[in-house]
Amino acid sequence: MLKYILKRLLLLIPVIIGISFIIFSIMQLTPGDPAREILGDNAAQEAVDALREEMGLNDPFLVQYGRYMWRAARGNFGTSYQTGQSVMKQILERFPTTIYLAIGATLVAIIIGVPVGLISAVKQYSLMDDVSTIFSMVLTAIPNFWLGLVLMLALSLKLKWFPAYGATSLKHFVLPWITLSCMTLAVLIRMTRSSMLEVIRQDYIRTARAKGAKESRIVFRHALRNALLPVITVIGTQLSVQLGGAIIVETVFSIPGLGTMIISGIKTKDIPVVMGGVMFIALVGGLVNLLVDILYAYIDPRLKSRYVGTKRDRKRLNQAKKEVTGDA
Amino acid sequence: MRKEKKQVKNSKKRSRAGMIWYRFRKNKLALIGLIVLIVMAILALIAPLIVSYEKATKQNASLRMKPPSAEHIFGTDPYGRDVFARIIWGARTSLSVGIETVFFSLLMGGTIGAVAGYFGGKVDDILMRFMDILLAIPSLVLALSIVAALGTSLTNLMLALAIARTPQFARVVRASVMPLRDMEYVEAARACGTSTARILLKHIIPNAFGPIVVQTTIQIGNAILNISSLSFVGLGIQPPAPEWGSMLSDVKDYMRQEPLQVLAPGIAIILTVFAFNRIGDGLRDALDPRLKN
Amino acid sequence: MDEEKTIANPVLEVSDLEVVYRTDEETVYAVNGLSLKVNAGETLGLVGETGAGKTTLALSIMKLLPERIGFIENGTIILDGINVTKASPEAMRDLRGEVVSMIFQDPMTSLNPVVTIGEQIAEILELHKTTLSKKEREERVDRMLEMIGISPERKGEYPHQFSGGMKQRIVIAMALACEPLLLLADEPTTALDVTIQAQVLNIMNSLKERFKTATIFITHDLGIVAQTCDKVAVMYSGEIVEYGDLRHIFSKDPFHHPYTVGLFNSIPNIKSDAPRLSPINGMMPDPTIRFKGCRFAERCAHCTERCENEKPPFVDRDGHQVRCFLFAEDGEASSKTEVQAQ
Repeated sequence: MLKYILKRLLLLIPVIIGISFIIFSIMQLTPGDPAREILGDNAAQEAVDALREEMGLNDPFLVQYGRYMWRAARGNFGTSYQTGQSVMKQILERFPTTIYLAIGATLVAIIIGVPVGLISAVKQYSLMDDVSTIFSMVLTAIPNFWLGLVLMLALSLKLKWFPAYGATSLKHFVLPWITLSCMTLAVLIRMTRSSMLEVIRQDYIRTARAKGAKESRIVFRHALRNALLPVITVIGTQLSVQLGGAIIVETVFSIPGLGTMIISGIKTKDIPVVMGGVMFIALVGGLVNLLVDILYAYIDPRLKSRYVGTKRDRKRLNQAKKEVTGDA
Repeated sequence: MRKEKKQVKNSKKRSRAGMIWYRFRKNKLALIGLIVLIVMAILALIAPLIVSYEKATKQNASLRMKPPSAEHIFGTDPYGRDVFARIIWGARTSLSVGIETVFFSLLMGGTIGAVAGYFGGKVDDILMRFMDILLAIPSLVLALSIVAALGTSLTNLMLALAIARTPQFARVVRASVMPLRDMEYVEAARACGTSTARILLKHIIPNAFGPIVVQTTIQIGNAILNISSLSFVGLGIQPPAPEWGSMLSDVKDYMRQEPLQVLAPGIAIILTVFAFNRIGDGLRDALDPRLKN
Repeated sequence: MDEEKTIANPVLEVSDLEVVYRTDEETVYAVNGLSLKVNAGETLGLVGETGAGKTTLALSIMKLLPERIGFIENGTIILDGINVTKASPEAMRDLRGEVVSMIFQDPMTSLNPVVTIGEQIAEILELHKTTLSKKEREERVDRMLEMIGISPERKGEYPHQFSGGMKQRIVIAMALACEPLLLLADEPTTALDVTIQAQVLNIMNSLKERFKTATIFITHDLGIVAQTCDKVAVMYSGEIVEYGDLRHIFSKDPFHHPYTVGLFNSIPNIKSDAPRLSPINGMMPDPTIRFKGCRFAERCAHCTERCENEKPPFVDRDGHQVRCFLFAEDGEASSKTEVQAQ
């Protein structure tokens, strides 16, 4: 297993380099002079030139990228043009809020989406199946910021059940969670349903029926685990999508997370903040996917045995081969 | 096997297009989607005949936040603009920007995917690895950072959104091209000395048509969603141009007074995106019945 | 078949069974008025080409026809004194695995990939032998594994860790763990290599002899039939066209259904000096159409007008039954000679 994790970690490195390179390159396209941005329009040209030299802005592109990555690897994403604060410090302050938002929303989606998809598949063609299918179709079409506004209007402004803005208590997060979860919820309902339908068609389910197993036993003992394997992968990719979606939802509910930081960074042309924030989100997304893949390998015995206790397994495989050829 | 035979029988009776339409029609939701989209498109096209652009964009302090009336059937927004007019003109914005964006990314992604799939090997490895990395960045985040770097303008927005969904098209086209590459009729064309570009355009792309059409349809809906999201946070279509997402951002602070102004643009977005998604789904089933369920 | 009733008690008695597959587009008549009997401990070979309705028959006995598509339209299936066609789902669950077991064609896909093989064998005991303690159950699993030549130590392993032949042996062990009265083996060796086939067949045969399990062996391999079966039924397009003891079916006697003759002519025979195989011309009739007469008529060299309009009756000679007008008492004697010529 360790070998597998290491292998996956190694594979993550080129992805990280690729992502950071792309984002760094995009940011370089920004018109205007960062040194001028910091010093303001009234500063003398000499001062700007001096700062440019100091910041290394005159160095070749690759050198600048290398320097940025070298610093980033040691946790230094530069300083904000606006506040002069360390970007890393801002990220670390705001990151827990965003991850809390994203994980909460993912949990909401799992808790509702997986059972609904499951029932939908087991009771295929029923009214419940039709309703949940249309529900997930509509969810896919709803822009999450609009859902946020509507929920806010109905549940906080009219009914006053939840606070509309901020992120200081659990209650503040309920509406943002629901809002952010809607897209993932739709995906999970659809995935769970189709995965379960696929599994139910398999021969081993027929074998279980031929054994005289009850329908509930077939669903929970034989089908569920197989059906959930692909769903787990989807949850992984959805978590990183949620980090992106959080940017919008944070804006709706004025939550001080990475999203609002990036948006205000874009509006104030605070490039180090935007770059740091975007890069951080992309990296966390990559790491989450890695974690999910490891979890997947742990649950699926076919993958697990490829990496767990490889030595003993190989021995047994050889033994098995001998057994077969010997018998025949 | 029997089923296949039956389909052959049927398709003999109808033309290919007729058969696709026959199967598409059987999908009720897709049909509803198509009708919704046609209505939207007509409204967008004849917008100037219904209500003037000026009504949708000209600010008027004396008309702020008026409730629905005979003259302003959806009322007026915080800047005194007619909400109904902004919805209609918003359809024009969303549909045209969404469609143009997606065709642009289809062009980029399609070329990359076709080249990768056709040549395979090293070319494929490098191109697709690059696409995978782009794909690893959530499309909204990628679009945001491009807009952040280039600044907010319509061209930049379209460029950002087009780049953000290029990998999806590259993947779909590559997956369709790969199996066709070694087909005998393609080899025959190659043996005749046909140029690579011609083989791709004449022999391979037409056969990858189905998945590309489906992906394009669904991505247009997706792009419209992203445009409205970006506009909502103030980084998309810039005011005073009418756009559904920015309309919502305008009324955000006044929504207690006029809930209808929150509902109307949202429902317009949902209907449009829903329509594109349903049509995409319907096309998938109609173009390749084997994929159904 | 009447005279056999007195000799042994049947485990399975199917009468006038009609099964259809119905979709929005069409109705497929898969089994058309089939009657069949299997006695305790007896092995019946069910032969016929793909699409003859063999698997449908087996699934009907299990009452595992595809939901919403497959329906038993008519007839009865009496299994160990219980009418399967009328049995409740609960009653069926008690029968499956306990009284009747089924082995499917593809061992690669018939075991659950995420459950250990030990658990999968133990499950059937857990479901039906509820009096067994956990320890007894485990012992029984170990014994079954030993019988099929797999070390009990490996019961904690997953299906993908075994070869195809071993998987099929595990499936056999599973099917026979409760010592059922009837085993339905649906081409259990078709998906395996020839060398592995023999090994799996041997294990299956020794186990069913040991448990005295009656078997319906579905196959299109006449060689396997010759090795394993006591009785043979030849199926064509949802009907049985010939039935008899193994020696009847393999006899050189001209008393055979033309389809059986064709089936035998399609296998290569080293001893025969025939220059080439003589496969049966044409294809099985469209199963969406119902026939008035003999379903083999359009491919039969001896077809008469009568064959097309009237269902031929079974002609019985010492328990060897052939469903063809050629041998009917009032049949046309002229064509009889033609068959003999073959």
